[in-house]
Amino acid sequence: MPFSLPPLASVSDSESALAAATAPLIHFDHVGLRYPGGAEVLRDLTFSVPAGSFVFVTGPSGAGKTSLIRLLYLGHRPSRGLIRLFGQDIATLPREDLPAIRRRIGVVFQDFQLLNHLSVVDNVALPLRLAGADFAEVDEPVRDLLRWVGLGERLDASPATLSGGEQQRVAIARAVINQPAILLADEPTGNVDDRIAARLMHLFGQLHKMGTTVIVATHNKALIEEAGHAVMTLKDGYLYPGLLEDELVP
Amino acid sequence: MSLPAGWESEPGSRLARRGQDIPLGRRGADRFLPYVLGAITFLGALMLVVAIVAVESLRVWDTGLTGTLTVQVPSLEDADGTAARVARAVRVLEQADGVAEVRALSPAESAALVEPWLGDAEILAELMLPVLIDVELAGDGAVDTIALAIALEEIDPGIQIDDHGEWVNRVLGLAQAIAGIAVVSVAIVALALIAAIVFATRSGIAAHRHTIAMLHLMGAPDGFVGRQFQRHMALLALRGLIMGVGLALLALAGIAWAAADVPALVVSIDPLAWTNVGAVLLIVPVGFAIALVAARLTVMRTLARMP
Repeated sequence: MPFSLPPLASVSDSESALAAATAPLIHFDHVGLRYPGGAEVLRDLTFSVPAGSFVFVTGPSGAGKTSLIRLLYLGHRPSRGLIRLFGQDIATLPREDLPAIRRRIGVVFQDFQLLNHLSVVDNVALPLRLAGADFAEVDEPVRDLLRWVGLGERLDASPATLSGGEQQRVAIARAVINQPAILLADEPTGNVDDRIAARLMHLFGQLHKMGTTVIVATHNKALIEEAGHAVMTLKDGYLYPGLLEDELVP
Repeated sequence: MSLPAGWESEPGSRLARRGQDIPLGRRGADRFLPYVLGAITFLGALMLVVAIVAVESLRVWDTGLTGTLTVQVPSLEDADGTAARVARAVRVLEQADGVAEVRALSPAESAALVEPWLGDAEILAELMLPVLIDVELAGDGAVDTIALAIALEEIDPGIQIDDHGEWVNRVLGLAQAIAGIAVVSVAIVALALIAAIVFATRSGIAAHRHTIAMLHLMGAPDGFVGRQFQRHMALLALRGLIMGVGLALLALAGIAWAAADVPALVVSIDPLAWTNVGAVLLIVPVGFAIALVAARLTVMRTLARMP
């Protein structure tokens, strides 16, 4: 059953620095998504996410979590409905304005989507370079972050030579390196051990405290319960508030 | 801070990078593009020279043969009789309105004209070649050829006046046709060059679709991606253009060498004339500009259809 999520200022961290922001950073109004030739995977989604929120999107496999993330990073246009990001209707945005919006969104893809012809350092530096950063600004933060996620010895390696967990850490480093306004993560802890998972969630928490709006798609119940942030559940293409207990991995 | 080895500064940009953001040229799909463009350029360069020679010949024949007449006085066994009739004919021609200059060709000059077709001087000496009189017309070349023919007929009914009209018209028609075909061929070659660039650019975008999509999602504008394709395609095209033009100049040099001992018949052709060489060399910058624009338009249009 479709619903309108209340402003997350009431359900997300009260300590969040930007939770009191007035206009929602993300607003979906009766959004639907249907891939060509397929059934509707997202149905009548209506919700708002204020700036500075930390939200988990959960649900069973195939519920539409990845599709929702895809809409949020402008990887796909909705079949119907209205999406507003940073207060702007993305349907009416001219194409030349999309890069600026996208540079404010960091994405951790479920399948990492690293560029294998670039080294680990170059993959992580890419968002900074696309944002026009000087080399001096790029090099040290990139190396520091990679050392922090435990990849200090693999800086010049090709992503293709890394394990799944290492690739995931590179993908996360790439997503957070330019401190995006919105961080989207699709199953970010799916391929890492508990120690690294805790470290990554700590990183997300730090970014959140610095004002980044974090949206994490996961079906990991323990992760959600431990973090204690707002939760939305997708099931059969519809969005519900809170946890639906029977749909989660314990 | 100094840049580590392998990094390079990008002029006009604050960005620094090592390697390519899009691994163009690594998948081999466009490896053959310079050779294809080289072959296209080679053919185009030769057709361009053909067009230039044809147009130049048109100009030479048009200005050289209009405004002149050739009068043929049949030779008799009596050389003095022939000379007397030639002298009378010259006088008639000189007195005619619209005639600027009259000159009777010597037997040696007449023999030289037909020698390429009929052979050496011994055979020509046995032939009764007519005496030729070159008549240059004044001003706009208007002359009453009928009145002239009647006046000359009184000297010898066998005297013929040739204003070259029929020959000029036929040769000009042929030359125009050759020039037209050559120009169309050059245009077709230019279109083939554009088509090759468009096809290679589209193939490159299709081959690197994933990388381009990722760059887009990280906030790369179309121009950032487009510049990399544009630069890559333009450099490939430049290699092909230089290759094709180099081969064409070699071919022209070969033709010039082969034609060095052939006497000029209808028109004197110098394949290595500066107009020909200059036009062929001009293909490189013009082709490069066409390739640049074709790649740019193709990549930007294709990218505009991507998310």
